Amino acid sequence: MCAKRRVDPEGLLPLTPVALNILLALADEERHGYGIGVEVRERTGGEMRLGPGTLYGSLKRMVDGGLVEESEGHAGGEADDGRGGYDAGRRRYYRLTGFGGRVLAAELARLEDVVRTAQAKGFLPPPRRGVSSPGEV
Amino acid sequence: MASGAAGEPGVAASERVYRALMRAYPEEVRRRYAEEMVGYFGDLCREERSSRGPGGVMSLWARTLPELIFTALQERGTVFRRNAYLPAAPGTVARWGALCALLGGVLGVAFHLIEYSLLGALGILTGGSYGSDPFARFFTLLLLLGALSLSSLGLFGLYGTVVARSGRPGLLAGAGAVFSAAAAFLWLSISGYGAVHNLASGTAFFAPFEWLWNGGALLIGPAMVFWFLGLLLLGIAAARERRLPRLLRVLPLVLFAIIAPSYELGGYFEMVGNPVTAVIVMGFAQGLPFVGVALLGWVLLRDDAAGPPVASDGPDGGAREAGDVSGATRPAGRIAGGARSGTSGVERDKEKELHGAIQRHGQLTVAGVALETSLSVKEAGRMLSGLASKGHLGVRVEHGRLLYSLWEDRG
Repeated sequence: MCAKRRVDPEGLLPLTPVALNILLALADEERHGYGIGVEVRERTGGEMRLGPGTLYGSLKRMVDGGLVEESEGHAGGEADDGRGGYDAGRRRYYRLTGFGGRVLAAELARLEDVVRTAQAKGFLPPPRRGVSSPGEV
Repeated sequence: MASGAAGEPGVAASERVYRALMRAYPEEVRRRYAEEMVGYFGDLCREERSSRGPGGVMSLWARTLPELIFTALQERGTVFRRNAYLPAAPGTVARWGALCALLGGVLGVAFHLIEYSLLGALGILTGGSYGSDPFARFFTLLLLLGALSLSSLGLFGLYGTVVARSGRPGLLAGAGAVFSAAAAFLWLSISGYGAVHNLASGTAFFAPFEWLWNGGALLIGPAMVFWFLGLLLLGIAAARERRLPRLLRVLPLVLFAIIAPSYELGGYFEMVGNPVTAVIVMGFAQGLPFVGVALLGWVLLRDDAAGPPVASDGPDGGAREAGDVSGATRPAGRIAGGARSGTSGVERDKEKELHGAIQRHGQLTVAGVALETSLSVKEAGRMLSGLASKGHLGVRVEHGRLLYSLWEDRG
């Protein structure tokens, strides 16, 4: 929500793995910190477990950088996760900004180039037919 | 905070411990995220406890502690890097630097008028020697070295102003400040030694230090060069700073430009065989840079009197530039210089009040500002939205409320 001086998304690349995964977690919907942590952990098969310092340190930088913003809250309230967790009313939600979306797209395009290069050099199998590349999404 | 923690003493205790350990993070992080981080950690505790029992919580702690130490150091490092180039509030540095420049300039002009123009001309006209007795020498020496020391320190006024306006100094102003500091150090050392030398020279106590007089003379050249370089670099940095008033951007470079010719002017009259005019002009010419320094101090003070930078909160007071996700923030600074132009004195006072309230509380709503200041809710709303729309304040939405804050806070 802060007024910011916009910079070229390309200038922020490459993103750190944590930043990339947080942006991916927010790509489809706004989430609170715990929601981001769970999504990243599940999507990475438990490989990436974000501690509070890592998660909120990255969120702080991304909010400051204009990639992510705090949303005005979850309209439908929060569905209880069944664990009797952190007070739902006090959770802060985060969502991707337009600029954050452009940065994410630029990073994915960059990674796609890397994969293409690896395929061209025979380090990776060629893409299967009928599977769209990230850039086509 | 954690609704579910009451029935889980282990989780509640973990949360309490984690909350205490949050002190490792800078104040800025704690203020913005402490509640959420503790809540998040509590959620992780609950999850581990329900899936793996107390062993899971222990395992979580084993993962979290090193992470806490590492990220706290990282955040503190970021704050340190932001503050390293100016460990004091830039506004304060600008104000004191301006005072030094004004005083140094006045002393420099006084020295040249007395030493060269007045005493020199009198000596030539009457054939006598004025100002050669020990007291006069002591007085004039102190006057000159004091003027040079204060003028060097005065350049920090320019540095502080550039930092206050842009959020961080950049290479030019940073290098200029280093040269100015070196010049000030040398001038202060020379003047300190010179004063003691004048008082104690010839005594047995001072005998071991007599030789330093010659060494001190060697420092005058480097001190002068450092001062010139400091002025030149800070002048260029100021000239490039679009947020500064035009006069302040131009003056340091004009000042630098008049230094060299001013020394030559006096030499010219001496060369054409007019010694009286030569000493008067030489005194005036050599004093010209000090006129400029005094003028610089005056302009800086006038600029400062127009109101403090609204959105600069200390040396780290920079705006967040879009998109730093790689670790280091890149404060770019916002100030209310532009916003101030055209505002009345009353308006400026209100703006100062508003700035002070936000600085004290970190972030405030419109109603909060109205409660903390003499502003009405309507006035607070108008001023906050005006400053925010110009980019001088940060705005965030929290639980449906608009919160206004300075761009960065000291950690």
